[in-house]
This record gives sequence, C-alpha cells and structure tokens, in this order.
Amino acid sequence: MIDIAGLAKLYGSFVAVNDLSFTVQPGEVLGLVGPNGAGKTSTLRCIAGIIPPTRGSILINGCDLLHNPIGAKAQLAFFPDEPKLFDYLTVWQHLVFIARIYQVGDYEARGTALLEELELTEKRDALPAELSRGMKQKLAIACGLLHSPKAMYFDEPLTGLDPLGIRKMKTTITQRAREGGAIILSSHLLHLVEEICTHLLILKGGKMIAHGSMAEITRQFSTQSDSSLEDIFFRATDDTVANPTPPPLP
Amino acid sequence: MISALLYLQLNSVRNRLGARFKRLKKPKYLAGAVLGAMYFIFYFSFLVHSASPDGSASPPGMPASFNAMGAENLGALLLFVVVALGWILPNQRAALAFSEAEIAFLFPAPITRRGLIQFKLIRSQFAIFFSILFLTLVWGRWRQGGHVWISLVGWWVILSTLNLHNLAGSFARTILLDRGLTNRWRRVLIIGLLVAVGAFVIQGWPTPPDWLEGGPAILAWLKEGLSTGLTPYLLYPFRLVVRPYLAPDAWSFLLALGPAVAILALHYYLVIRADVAFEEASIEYSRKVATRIETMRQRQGGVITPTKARRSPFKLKPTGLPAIAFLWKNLILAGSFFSVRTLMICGWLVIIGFTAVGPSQHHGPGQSVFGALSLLLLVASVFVGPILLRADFRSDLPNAEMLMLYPLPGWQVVLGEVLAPVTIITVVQWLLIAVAVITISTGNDPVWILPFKIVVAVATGVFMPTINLAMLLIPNAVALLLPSWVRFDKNAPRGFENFGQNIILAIGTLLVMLGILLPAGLVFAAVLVVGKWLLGTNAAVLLAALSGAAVILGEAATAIYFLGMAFERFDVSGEMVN
Repeated sequence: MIDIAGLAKLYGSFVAVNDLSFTVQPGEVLGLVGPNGAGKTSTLRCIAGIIPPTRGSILINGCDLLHNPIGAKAQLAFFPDEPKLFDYLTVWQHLVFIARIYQVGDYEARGTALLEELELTEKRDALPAELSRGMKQKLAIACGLLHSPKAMYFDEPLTGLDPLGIRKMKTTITQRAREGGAIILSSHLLHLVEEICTHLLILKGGKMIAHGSMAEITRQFSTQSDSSLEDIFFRATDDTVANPTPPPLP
Repeated sequence: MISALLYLQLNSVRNRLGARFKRLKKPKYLAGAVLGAMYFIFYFSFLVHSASPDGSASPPGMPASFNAMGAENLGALLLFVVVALGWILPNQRAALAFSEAEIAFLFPAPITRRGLIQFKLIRSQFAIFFSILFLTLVWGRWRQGGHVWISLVGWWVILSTLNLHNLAGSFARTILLDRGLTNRWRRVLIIGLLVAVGAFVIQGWPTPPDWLEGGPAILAWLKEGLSTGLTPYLLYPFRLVVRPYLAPDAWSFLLALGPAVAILALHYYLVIRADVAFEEASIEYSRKVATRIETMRQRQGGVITPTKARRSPFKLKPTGLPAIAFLWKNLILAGSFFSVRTLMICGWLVIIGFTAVGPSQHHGPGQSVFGALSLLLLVASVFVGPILLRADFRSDLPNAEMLMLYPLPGWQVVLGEVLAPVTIITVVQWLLIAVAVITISTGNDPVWILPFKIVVAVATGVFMPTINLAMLLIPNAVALLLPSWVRFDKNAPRGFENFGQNIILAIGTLLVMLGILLPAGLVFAAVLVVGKWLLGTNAAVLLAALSGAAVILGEAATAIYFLGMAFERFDVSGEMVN
C-alpha cells in the first residue's frame, strides 16, 4: 500500500532523511519514532507530497507520488500536528470545499456521518475560531477522511487533546486500520505507539535504526521479555548509557 | 539591576539589526536594500538641499510673520493642547508597555518597581532618538548650518518631557481612580476647568477675524492673542519647554536649556518617586497588544479574520472543475461585502445617485461628471483592484502545506486562486461601465451615438476580465516565484530591503503589464482598422475587442500553465516568509 524506497531529503548540505526504505500494508499501523531532529516530520511531508524528496520513490497503492501525484494524493490523507484550517470557512463549508477538491459525490451523507462520529454535528456552522483545539483537530480529521483515503499519516495526533479526545483519536486510528487503511503515525508518546502500532520504525539523524513488527523490534533490542518500548527506544537510539532510567519516586 | 536591563535592551537591538544585516548576504535582499537606501538618501538629500535658508527671523517650521516670541507662544499652545488631550482622552490605569516575554521574565524577577520604570524610560529614549533625527531632518533645520544640534537637543527636551508627563499623568489617573474619581468625573472637571480659564482668558483677546479672511488673518489674531493679558503667563511652563528648540543661537539656547531641563528633571523625579501599581494593567495591556498582533498575523489577504460565519456565495457542487472550489472559498474570504445582495444595493445607490445629480428627464452636466467619475474609477480599479483584493495566493500561500496535499494539477490551483479577485473586480467594473454609458452624454446626442456607446461598453466589458486576470497573475507569480518578497505577515519587520524590493516589484509589474498588453493592443488596432473597412465601425470595435481579449487570455493561459508547474515544484521547506 505505502511503498517507500531509497527516500532521501537534503536541505542544502544538511541530510534530514537518508536512504529510507519501508512498506506499510493495509491494516498496518507503523509507528515512526525517533529523537528530536531525527527526520520524522520531513519523512512524513515528503511521502505526503508536501515537499519534494531529493531522491527515492514513493508509491501509494501503486501510484507513484512523484510521477502521478494527482492519482497518489487522491488516495492519501495527512494530519499535521497543528490542524491547518481556513479561518473564514465554517465546519460544514470545509467539508463542501474538500468534497469538490476530491470530487466526493456523496459528501453530504459521508460528511454528516463523519461529523456525527467525531461529535461535531452541533458545531456544523461554527468557524474554527469558535472551536477548541481538540475540535479543530477533529475537523481536520473529518476533512482528511471525507474522501476515504487508503493511506493516512498522523503527525503527533494527540497534541493538545483532552483524555476523551485522546481515546476518540486512538479509536479513529485503529478503526481506519481495521477497515484496511495503511497508517503511519509519528509521535514522541511511546505508550501511544506501543498501544496502537503494529509496526515500528526508529529514526535517528535521518537514518533508519530499526524497522519491523513490534515483536521483531522487541526481540532485536530487549534484554528482558517484559521490556517496554521506552527501554527499547533508548537502547536502539543508544542513549541508555548516558541517561539511565531514573529510579521510581518514593 | 539596571545594567542587566540595559544589557537586555542593547542586545535586543543589536541582534535584531544583526539578523537584518545577515539577510543582506542574499542578493534578493541586498538588491532591495541598496535600492531602498538610495531612495531614502535621495529623498532626504532633497529635503536637506531643497531650500536654502530664507534669511527671515522666523524660527524653523513657523509662519514667516512670526517672530521669536510669537513662535514660542504658538509652540507652547500646541504643547498645551497635546498635554490637555493627554489628561482628557485616556481612560486606562497606568500601564507601562511591556512585551509578554518581558513580563514573564522581569515581573517575577527581584527588580523594584522603580527599576522597571527606569528600564521603560531608557527604552523610550531609543524611540525618541530616532524621532528627533527624523523631525530635525523634516523640519529643515539641517540646512541652517551649525544649528543642527540645537534642533536635536531641543526636540529631545520636548519629546522626553512629553513622554515623562504622559507617564506621570497615567500614574495620577490611577491614583485618582483608586480614590474613587471616575474617568467621567475627571473629564468633566478638567474640561470644566479649561473652559472656565479659557473663557476668562479669551476676554482679553482682540476681536477674532472673519474666518473667510483666511489663514494669515487668523494667524495674526492668534499671534496677538497669545501675547495678550494672562495667556503668556498661563503658557509659561510650556514656553520654557519649547524655548531651547526655538533658540536662534548657541547663547540663547544655553540660557533656555536650564529651565527646560529643570522641568524635565521635575517630571523624572515625580515619575520615579511615584509608587503606583502598574503591574496588573501592564499585563492586561501586553495581552491586548499580543492579541492585536496575533489578529494582524491572522489577517488573510487584507481581510480581517471573521468572527461571524459568512454565507456561501453559491451552492458548490461536489463534482466539476475543482478550481471553482477556490473561487467559492475565496469569495467567502472576500466577505459579505462582495455578495450579490451588496452588488444589488450598490446598483440601487447608483440609480438613486443618478436621479439625484440631475433632472430625470434630461441629461445634465452633473450626470456627465458622474459618468466621468465612473470611468476614472474604472481605470483606477485595474491598478488598485489587484492591490486591495488579495484573496488569492497572497493569502493562501501561508497554507501551502495544505494546498500541496490536494490531488490537483498546479494550473487548477493557480486558476482557482485568482478567480475570486478577477470576478469581484470585473463585476464592479461592469457596474461602472453601465453607469458611464447611462450618464455620459452631451444632452443632445446624435442618433448613432447610443448604439456606439453600447458597443464600446460591451467591448470594454469583454476586455476587462482578461486584463484583470493578467494583472492578478503578476502579484501571484511574485508570491509563487519570489515568496520571500511578499509580506504574508503584515507584522513582519520592514526595512530598506523591503522598501527596495517593493520598488523593484512595482517597476517589474509595470514592465510585465506592458509586455502583456502590447501584443493585445497591436492585434486590437490591426483588427479595428481592417474590420472597419470590411464590416463598419461598431462590428469592428466588437471584433477587435474580442481579438485583443483572446490574445490576453492566451497569454494568461500560458502564464497559468507555467505558474502551475512552478506551484507543483514549490518547496514549502524553503524560505517562504521574510
């Protein structure tokens, strides 16, 4: 579904992403983790078609994003950490606009169902300024899901959400995966990644440190059977020696 | 402690300037900076050398009939008015303007209230320094060889005293509010006092001249009045403050400086000794300023971010040309002012105006003036419209990340982005053309003139959308190809380089416009000449207009195609905003 090969992104002489290759199959949720500056957001933006990669190929459901960007983009959705909305369009007007862009003929039924699912029905005629941070996030998700994308990228999806919003967001992500979506989720919240991801890709300095199913990664990096993802992450990124786990508070 | 605050201020200025100079390494900023600097040098050298000293005894900036005493009185009066307004108009408690970062760092720090006030005073000196330079330059004092420093110090005394006085006034206002004197009562008391004193003083003044006698007579009356009776004594403190600036020579200046500095020092003493709680009001003030800045940053395309949902201009179907979605979206952005209902109201206003200007049955000269005004607005709209209406890439490019996600060819996005302003400007222009056709008349037109007027109107109406499209493609091309030259953020810092860039862009726009219009004009002329010979005037005009418009449309279509390619290659990770 999502097939990345030899992806590289350079900003001048700075290498943000270096020779990255991986695939995400339908139903899989790939957790993209790494320390700050690892190249997670650059990777997501490249494979979403927002910024051009310096090298590599990106296939979305068989469509080459570089040679057939329209076909590829029609099948994906990107949810940035900060929801990007038009200040002057209401919730429903956002959906109407997106429907025309993606040519979603039955948008009224789909949009109504999405607003219902995301609990935005009462805010149908509200402007983004009238929405809370979580509601804005939900609106961005409604816009992204309106055209039923096959590939979805979430960049720090839990930022600014309340506990209920967090639970809803997790449900939304796992539900789309169960429906056959291929999902990439970038986050620093390792417990979230551990909870909902089926696969893991650890990046550091633009390079892939580890990639595989959660079980494979656990086998590769853990010394004990009950190692947490946090332990695995620090071991993989080689920070355990410098920063040992602090003792528990009394 | 004050040294730490000074360190903060000096380093802030130095780093800000450093960042600006660092930008000049890039040719696009350097070119703008050189041109901008040249413009300012040329402009100010013109100010300095434009007029030689006139040799009159009048102090700078004063009417020729004013001698030193008259000028001093007039200056004192102006200062008095400024000070009086400062006591009447403001209604807030003392609030020293701090940035949110300053509040976060300085307010919890072990700094006394007095220390914070001193910090504010030192910082205000930076602004005063640039102000006195500018005022000395503009007031032409530079050309009065050797007396530049009198002007500089004179202005410094005036502005610093005013600054301290306003601060002291805000402290006094706070104390009065704390003691139960509301703003309303304070205003009533001050205005009452001013009216009472003014009424008493003005009795001794000479009889005022007829206003119709003009400015010189009024100035002469003012000059005489200001030096009559109690007035000069009431204005005495203000005269002391302006006297150094008006001093004709070094000795007079030194004599005048002592009392003026004494007043300044008194203000400083009062301000620094005041123990007024300004912290809470300052926090509120800084929050308001931050909100205002944020609002300005969120302004989209010159249109303020709405607080009320706007109705859709038309029903947008989910299928069809996706570019229309941008037209729909940007018409909502442009706001309710450009709705069909508003246009109908405008139409009615035009009709009402038309009937009001002249008799309804006959064309009068007033109506023709109305028509000429419409034509003038029509021409102006071609140039001003694309500047005012920015509901296109200039408002959407900060959302480039979102636009890049859409599964659309670049040309659709470019076309969609410019459609809304083209539509709005064109509809307004068609309205103006209609008004011009109805109103422009000699009152005794021959029979053939009406069909000819209609033909010219239709021809102009055909031309306008294509011209608007071409005109709007220019700034949108700049936004796409040279994004760092476009001010997406109205709050972004300005400088020589931005000013120079604007000059270059204006010249470039003019050249591109000529390049677009020239082929169309040639085709129009050729078709008109041949068509007139073959088909007659009216048909030729229509055919020529259609041909010319087709040429511009072809040019615009080519530009949209290439700009679409540029959009597809647009790298949002590169430098976009200044």
